[in-house]
Amino acid sequence: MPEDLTPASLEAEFRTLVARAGVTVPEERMETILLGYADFRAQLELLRGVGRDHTAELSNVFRLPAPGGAA
Amino acid sequence: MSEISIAEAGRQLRAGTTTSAALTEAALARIAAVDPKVNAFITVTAERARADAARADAELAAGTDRGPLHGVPYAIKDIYDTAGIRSTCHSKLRVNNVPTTDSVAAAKLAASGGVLLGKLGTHEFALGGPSFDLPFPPARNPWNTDHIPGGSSSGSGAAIAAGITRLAMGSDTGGSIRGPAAYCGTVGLKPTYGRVSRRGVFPLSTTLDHIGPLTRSVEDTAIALQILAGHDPVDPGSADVPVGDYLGDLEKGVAGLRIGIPRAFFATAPVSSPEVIAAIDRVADALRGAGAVVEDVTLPSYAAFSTCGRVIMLCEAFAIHESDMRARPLDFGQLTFERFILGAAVTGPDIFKALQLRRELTDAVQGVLQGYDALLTASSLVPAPRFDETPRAMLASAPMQTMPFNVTGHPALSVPTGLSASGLPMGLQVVGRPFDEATVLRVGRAVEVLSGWEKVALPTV
Repeated sequence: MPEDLTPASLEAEFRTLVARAGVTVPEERMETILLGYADFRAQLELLRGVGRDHTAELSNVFRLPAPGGAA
Repeated sequence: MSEISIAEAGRQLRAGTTTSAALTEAALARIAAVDPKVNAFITVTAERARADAARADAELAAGTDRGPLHGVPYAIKDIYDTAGIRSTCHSKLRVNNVPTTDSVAAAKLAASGGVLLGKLGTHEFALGGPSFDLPFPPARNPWNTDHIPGGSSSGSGAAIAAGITRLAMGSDTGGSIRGPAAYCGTVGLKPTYGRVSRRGVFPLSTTLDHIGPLTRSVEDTAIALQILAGHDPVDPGSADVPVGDYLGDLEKGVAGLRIGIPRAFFATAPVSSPEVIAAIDRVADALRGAGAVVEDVTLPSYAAFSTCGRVIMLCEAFAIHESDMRARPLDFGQLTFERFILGAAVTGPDIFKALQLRRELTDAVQGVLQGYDALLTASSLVPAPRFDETPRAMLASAPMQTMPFNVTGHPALSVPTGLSASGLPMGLQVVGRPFDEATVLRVGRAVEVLSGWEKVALPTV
């Protein structure tokens, strides 16, 4: 779990995000989900901590075929 | 039947020393005997199998030969559409779903003259499992039924290890072919992204999804890939790249090949079995002895691949299931819901950064493969755990090492390396250049020979 995130704030963040997504999480499933979310949130920090400039292209930038099928 | 390779079955069928009907009856009898213990099948299509077999025998008698799978039994994971046969995704949400058309892969296997035995168990929607709250029980590992067979192509791995069939189709989004292959002691191929059409296979995460075979041997896999490979203009991920010859180089050995080992992937993992690592090192030594250059290489950290893949997978999976997650949350199994819901927590900037990272990781693997014909690494860091040892949450520290090549799309083959002291299979991955499955299979065949796995008998179930 990120150092500045307490279990309570982690849960609050998660509830906000899933509410935004329009999903109602059954309360009986919440405890295990929060365990998974804590682990996942730590992984997300690995992404968020990396600075890239505007030249970093995404993997799914695509290429349209030219007229007549030429490359 | 399962002791006879697909190629040998073909020779016997053409020599008239066996019939497809006989092979099919043997497979159906094996299902009746062992499937109550391993739960590999959701639906057994005995009537269809007998009809397929009768047609195959009649065609061969009349001089019509559809190729190496003609008359040979196979089975398909239950996320593949099969016309007129229910395709449930192992889920209450699709328990009554009966497609009207075949998936492209199912159609190709049928057109090749194979005999469809039935539909195989999976983790729900290829992610949620092993679970006991679904309409069908989870598959069990034939080497020890207290242990999981891996997932999500759990029924596929179990069906082969139980000696029911030599060919079972699976799907692989983060390791769902290679994981069960490693845990069940089978061969499992995730082809290059775009090599095999996914049309008609229920998606988990479309940019990471691959489909491919689990088989008893590398040769069986090569035969299956020869049938399955090819461009499908209707599958947006399908690549218009010529299909190779997957059988021609199988026995050429590894002399002169350069093989890299990204050792940090498994040497720095928080959980790993010394036996699994020792088996990889033994194979590496044997490959050197057979004339390959084998040396350690450096790739970005495993955590980078794992993070990238998990974020993309959960985000895409949630998007696919969003409507049902909102309207019918309790119709998902608990594990499935617990995993899919994490995708709702991915923000736009998170997915943007994951896609930036994906390009960097793909370029890094491509860069290393400019100097090597193949990479060798672990499939799973441990032999199959017991059901009661399997964590509920899907954690970053999971012992699979398969996600990197879903992220990058490179072909990857899991091949057994031997049995652990506890009698459970261990495996490794051979990874190759895009669309160079022929070299991956060639190295895999060498591993199969050098490890001695081809002489290991199936377990008694």
